[in-house]
Amino acid sequence: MATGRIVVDVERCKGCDLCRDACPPDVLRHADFLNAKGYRPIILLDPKHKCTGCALCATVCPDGCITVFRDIPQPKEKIHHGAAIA
Amino acid sequence: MLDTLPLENERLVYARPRTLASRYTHYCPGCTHGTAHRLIAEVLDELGLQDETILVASVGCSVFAYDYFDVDACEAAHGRAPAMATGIKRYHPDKIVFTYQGDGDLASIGAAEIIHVANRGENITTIFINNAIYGMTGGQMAPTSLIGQKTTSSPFGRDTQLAGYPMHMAELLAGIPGTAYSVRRSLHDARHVIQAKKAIKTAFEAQMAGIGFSIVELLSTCPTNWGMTPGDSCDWVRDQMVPVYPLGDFKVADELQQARGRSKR
Amino acid sequence: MAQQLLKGNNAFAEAAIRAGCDAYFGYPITPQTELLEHMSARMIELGRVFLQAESEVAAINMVYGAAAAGAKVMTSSSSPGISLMQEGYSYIAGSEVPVVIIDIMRGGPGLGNIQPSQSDYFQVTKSAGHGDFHPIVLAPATVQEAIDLTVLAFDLAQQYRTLVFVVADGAIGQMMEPAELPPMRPLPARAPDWALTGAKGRSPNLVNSLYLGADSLETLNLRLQDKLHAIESAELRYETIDVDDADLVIVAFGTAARVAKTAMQTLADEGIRVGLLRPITLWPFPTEALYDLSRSGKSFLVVEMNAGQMLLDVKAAVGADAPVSFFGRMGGAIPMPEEIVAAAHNALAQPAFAWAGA
Repeated sequence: MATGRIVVDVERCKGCDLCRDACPPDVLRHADFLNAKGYRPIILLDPKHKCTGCALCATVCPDGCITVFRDIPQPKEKIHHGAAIA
Repeated sequence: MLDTLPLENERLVYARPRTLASRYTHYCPGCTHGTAHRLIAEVLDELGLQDETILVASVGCSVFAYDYFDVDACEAAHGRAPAMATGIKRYHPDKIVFTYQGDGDLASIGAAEIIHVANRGENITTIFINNAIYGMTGGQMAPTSLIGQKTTSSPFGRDTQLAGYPMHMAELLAGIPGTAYSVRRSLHDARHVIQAKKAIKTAFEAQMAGIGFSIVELLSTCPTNWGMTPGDSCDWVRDQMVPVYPLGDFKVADELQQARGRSKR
Repeated sequence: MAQQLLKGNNAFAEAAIRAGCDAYFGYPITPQTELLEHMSARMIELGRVFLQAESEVAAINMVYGAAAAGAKVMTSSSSPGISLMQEGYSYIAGSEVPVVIIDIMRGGPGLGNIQPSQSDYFQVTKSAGHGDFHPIVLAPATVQEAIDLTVLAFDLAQQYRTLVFVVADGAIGQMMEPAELPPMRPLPARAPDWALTGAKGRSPNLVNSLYLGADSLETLNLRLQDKLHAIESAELRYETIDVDDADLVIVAFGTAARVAKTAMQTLADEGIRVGLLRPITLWPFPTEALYDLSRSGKSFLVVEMNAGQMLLDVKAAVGADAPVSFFGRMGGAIPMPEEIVAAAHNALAQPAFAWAGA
């Protein structure tokens, strides 16, 4: 499963929740602070790294305040059995 | 902004489009005007049209649209955006000209202008926001308000005996020979937003190909004047508006279909 | 270039083309339709923009768009059409784009008729739309002057980024006279810096008349007023004939002034010392010139093809003490020279306001 993260421009966010409704892994929450406009912005709360970087949140965001990244899958590290560690 | 750059071992999947100005919008939370703006900006970015484009903003909540796009822009009188766009396009036929209009502007006070811009087959694109209400003036009945819909000027619900019927502009304009592309899409969830963006792109491609008037009607929300949360507003579009205003393609000119066919191959 | 016999409406149109008009949007209305028809052929021949709009409302908004795009743009209409275009005039004034409008006036109110009239004086000089602005208003009295003032209108529109009216009654629009057209000017190579051309290599341009804050809108208005004051001091134009020695000064513009000139011959033959002040710009108005004449004890007779619209400006200029009379015809009627002679006699006996009926 792909993994990713989002960055929310919290000053631009109006806390409308459309991204929360759209988020499949349900990893978006309201912040515990208000932004300068008085809105409680959305933040990514994803301790288990369930965000897939699917970008549905950004797709529905009316304020264009979400940037989405997806992790580049890394080749599994080869383990060289028996190699001495210097 | 540094925090919008990918880290090592990451790739950028989505970023705010360049053509969207950095200014904060005045739109209410959850208002899909912002979504429509963003989609237009994404399309202009993808087609490389930012510095070729002239926006004609209209009167309504989107009156400040010129503040939200980093393109040359002007502000038309109520309903006259298609006429103003005609003047610009005729003088600069090599530029991309689009109007951004709401339902009061396009379907009521500007009904004559939109019909004639289509009939002349002006090579302009219109993005039509249908949220079934007058937003900026505070929630009055629009020509697209649903039968029975309560607004501040139809307090007992829209009565067809008194105020006629919801106007189906995408279908109406599709019947005009100069129209190359007339479709209706909705912005009520991610899947429909993606479809809306494709239609917006096709509309601008029609203008680039010079084959006539293109319009995308977008079913949109007005949480504040509907008195609903943004989420409930999207549900209302899905449950109440879409049955009245079916989504679909009402006119796709043959030239455009051929062009699309080529691009698919 | 030699003189040729030209119809007023065609002369307006061809003068505009030679002045560099590169876009025209209009709607048919009598008695200006030949102007639109002339443009429909010549503009297309020259590869310039011509479009017959679906209404005057659409036409003026197309004009607004083309002006915003950097065009030297013009429309033409007649009184009821001018009323319909008022929405656009106000936006054009507020956004400071150059536009030329030709108004071939007809009788009103309402649908009125298609006969010559000067009934738009208030409309074009005082209330061309909502908000505080005046268009520059030029009023030719001959076909030659129609040509010259149309060329001037384009220059003034560009110089001040404002709207300029050329107003003539239907008689001037329809009459044929010998006149000389100017040579064809080359079109400008590029649009002005402020025009909408696509923001390539520069920050975006905005053409707009919306200022939400009272402070910012007042600032715009102060700037507009400064511009209007500059126009008032620099662009006033009027003609005077024999005013210095006159006991009676006739004040008239356009066709009314032409008829007044004929009447003046009769009056002069009778030994009456009569002069004429003919405003060529209706806005700005020759207020000071009239005031100066009033200080030397002259009487005034205002002659118009309306119920006395410019009359108010004359009275305001000369003050309550000066004797001011009025003679007008309405509804498309043109005053006869003998009527003006009679009105002059009356004016010298006792100031009076009179309208003649058919």
